[in-house]
Formats: sequence, C-alpha cells, structure tokens
Amino acid sequence: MRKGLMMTALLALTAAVSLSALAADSHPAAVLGQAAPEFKLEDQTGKSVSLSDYKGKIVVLEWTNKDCPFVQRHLKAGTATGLAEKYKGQGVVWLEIDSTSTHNTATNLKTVADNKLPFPILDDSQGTVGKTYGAKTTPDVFIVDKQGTLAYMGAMDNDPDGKKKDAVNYVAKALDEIIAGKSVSTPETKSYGCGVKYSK
Amino acid sequence: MLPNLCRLVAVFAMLSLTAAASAGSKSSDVKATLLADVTAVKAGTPFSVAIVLTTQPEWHIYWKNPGDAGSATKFSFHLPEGYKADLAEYPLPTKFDQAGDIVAYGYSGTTVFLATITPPKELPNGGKVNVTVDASWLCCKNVCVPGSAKLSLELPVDGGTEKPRPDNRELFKGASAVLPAAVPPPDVVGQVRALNDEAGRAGLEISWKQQPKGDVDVFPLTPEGVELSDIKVNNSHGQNGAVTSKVDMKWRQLAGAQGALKPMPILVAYTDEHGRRHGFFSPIDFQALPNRK
Repeated sequence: MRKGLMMTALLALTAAVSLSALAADSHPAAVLGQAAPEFKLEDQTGKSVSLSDYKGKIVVLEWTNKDCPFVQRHLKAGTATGLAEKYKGQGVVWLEIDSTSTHNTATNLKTVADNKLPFPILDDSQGTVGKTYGAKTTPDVFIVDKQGTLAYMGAMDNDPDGKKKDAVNYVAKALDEIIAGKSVSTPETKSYGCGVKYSK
Repeated sequence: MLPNLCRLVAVFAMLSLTAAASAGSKSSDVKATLLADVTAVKAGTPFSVAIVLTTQPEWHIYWKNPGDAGSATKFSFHLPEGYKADLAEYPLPTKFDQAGDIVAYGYSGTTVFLATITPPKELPNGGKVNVTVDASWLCCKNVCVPGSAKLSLELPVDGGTEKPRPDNRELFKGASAVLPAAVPPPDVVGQVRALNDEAGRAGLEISWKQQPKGDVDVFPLTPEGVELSDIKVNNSHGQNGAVTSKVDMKWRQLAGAQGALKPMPILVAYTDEHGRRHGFFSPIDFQALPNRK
C-alpha cells in the first residue's frame, strides 16, 4: 500500500519535472532521426489513443483544422484519405491531430462524419502535443517509422495553392522510401498553411 | 472636354471576395481599391498605381514572406500590349507573434502597394487604356479566409502635358516615402556587418548615425531549405551616445535540402525621430560565413 503511494508520488513528481522542463525549453522535443515523443490523446469518440499503441507500424501524424482553407483544399482533393487508403495494407496508420484551442471531441466527431474520414482526429485542444512536435501549420505532417523514429517532418507537398501540374507529395515519397527500407531522401521541408490556432 | 475626361477616369474597383462570402463572416473582408496618380496616360511616360488593401481590426494579411504560416499577398497585372508593370517593393510589414512560437509577417489595417506602369513609346491619341490587377490574399485572425479581387482602372490616352491627380498625391507621396530601401540609407546607417559568432548563429551589427526610436525589427526573406529561429534584436548604447543594434538568429539547413544556399536579404525596420517607420535591406551570405559546416 505504502509502496503504491510512493510510486504514485514519484510518478507525479516525474511528470511535474518533465512538464516544467518542457515549458522552460521553447524548442520542440520532436527531432528528426530521434525517437518520436509519446503522446496520449482522445479520439473523436473519447477513446484514448497513444503513439505506443502502434508499435511496429509506420504512423503518419497530420495536424488539421477543418476551418483552414489549406486543409479544406486537401479535404476536397482527398489527399489524406487517398494516401491512408493506398498505404493501409502496408502497415501505415494515419492519425490526424487537431490542436485548435476552440475545437474538441464533439467538433472532431462532426468533422470525421462530415468528411467520411477513414482515420481518427485526436483532440489536442490544449496544444501540448502540437507544441512538443513543433507543429506550426495546418497541414503539418510527421512520419514515425516502424522503429518509432521521426523519419519525416514538414509539408504535405510542394504545392501550397494546389495549382501545380507536377506537384510532389512529400508524404507519399517518404512512405514509399520507408516501406522500401530506404532512407528518406527529403526528410524535412517547410510546412505551409494556416498557423495552428493554439490556446494562448 | 476636360470635365468629361475627369468623369471618364473615375476609378472602378470591382470586388470579388470569393471565399469571404462563403464563410458567412464579414469581418474577414478586405476592402480593395485601385488608384492612379494621373488622370491620363501619356506615351512613354511612366505613372504609378496604388493597390490599397484594408483589413478589419485584428485581422491581418501577409508580407511576401509570410513567416511560419500564412500565405503571401500576390498581385498579377493585366495590361494592353506594349505596357509594362513593375510592382514596387512590398511595404514594411509588422510582426504577429502567435501562441506556439508561430511568427507571421504581414499587415493589419490599411496598406498601400505601389506599382509603376510604363506605357509604350508611341500611342494613338484619344484611346483608353485599361489597367487590371488580380490581387489575392489570406486574411487571418482566429481563422484564415482566402480572398481575391479583380481591380480595374480606365484611363484616357492624352498626348499633351502630364496629368497628375492632386487628390491622390498625398497617398502616393506618403506610401513611396516609407517603402523599404534596397540598401542601408547612408545618412541613417553608418555600417552594417554580417556576424557569425558560432556555428549555427548568424546576424547583423548595425551602427546607426541617426538614433532609431523604439524597437528595431527584422524581417528575413528566408531562402528555401533554411530554417531560422530565435530571432532577436538588441540595442546597445556606446560611450559617445552611438547606438548599435545587434541582430542575432539561429539558422540551419533543412535535412536533405537541395541546391546552393542563397544569400538572405533581411529587412531592417526602424522608427525615425518623427515617429515614421522605415526599412532597408541588408544581406547575410550563409556561404561566406566561416563556420558553415
């Protein structure tokens, strides 16, 4: 019993220390080529989802905000749903994260339903995970490889306005390379879009 | 004849606020107008046009480098054959610091973008010329709304003397007086030195001849494949009262970035003794920095 209490206190202390460390250092904890930071968030149904739930899988984390015109452009084009479908059979899991301070599981539930999304939207309206990853725009994409290492971070493609005929989808390119066991040739790009509307 | 001409040159501004309307919110609307500094076009004589964009309070549109997020305000000109349009330097932006270390560069309120139109050397008298500008922007507050406007202006061609528009004179004069300069103005700035104190840090050291009032701000035109962070400006006062501004930033090349690093122009913004904001460009050449890995 006492041991259990001690353990709880120790865990709480560790959590407090790591939280304050995070607050003191404004630089994101997510670094290319290093272990992707663990997180635990609720999906649109209230179910808890952690990165570690998908050990051994390739995980795509896409920051989203239904109110952003750049996100709306990709929704209309079916960019994420198309890629999620294409790579589903190859061990790829697609998760969207919404760090918009005014959104919640209820708005996420509606967005998933309205757009018939085949993947969940995780509620990060507190902004903790977004700031840990250094997500700045919507969309902003991070790919975690099978070893749990951050293998790509940046833009969905090289076509912010959606007008290029020969656009390169960086996410598809990175996924192809990861699946083929190659190193990612363009592992980092500058993301584009609306600024993530974090809570102040 | 003259009064008729004047009526002809009344400015038409055709607004098409595409997405703003569909969002059902008027607050994101940007008012857009096109003005000329002349009442008639003379063959071979350049004239100026101004694209005036006004956002609602607390909303902003973006500079040519939007910063961490957003989208540049863009213009494309449609002119008759033989005419040439040169967009002037974008006006001085301001910085918008947002939660999550997101820094955006842009404009809130009324902003005047200038362009020079050069007519062909020979023009038949008595015709009319149509100047059309497609302006597009992203207007953000707690949401972002894209907008665009097709702005048109019709001017008569008159081979006589120049025909300035006195009613627009102040606007053009004021806007061109505060356009960023391509190089540091010698009467204001003594010397600008590019710095690199250690690997991954770069900056500028600006010695002022005229002491700037208030804060000095910098707006980098970040080249592709480069990430900047922790941009800071510190002012220090020397013994003789001379002011030096030290611009410091972290920079790194993105992993897998292709191609050679281009020099980065930095727009330095300051306020003069009359309280007017000005700016000038000064470059940092990453290739020339000795600590480059």
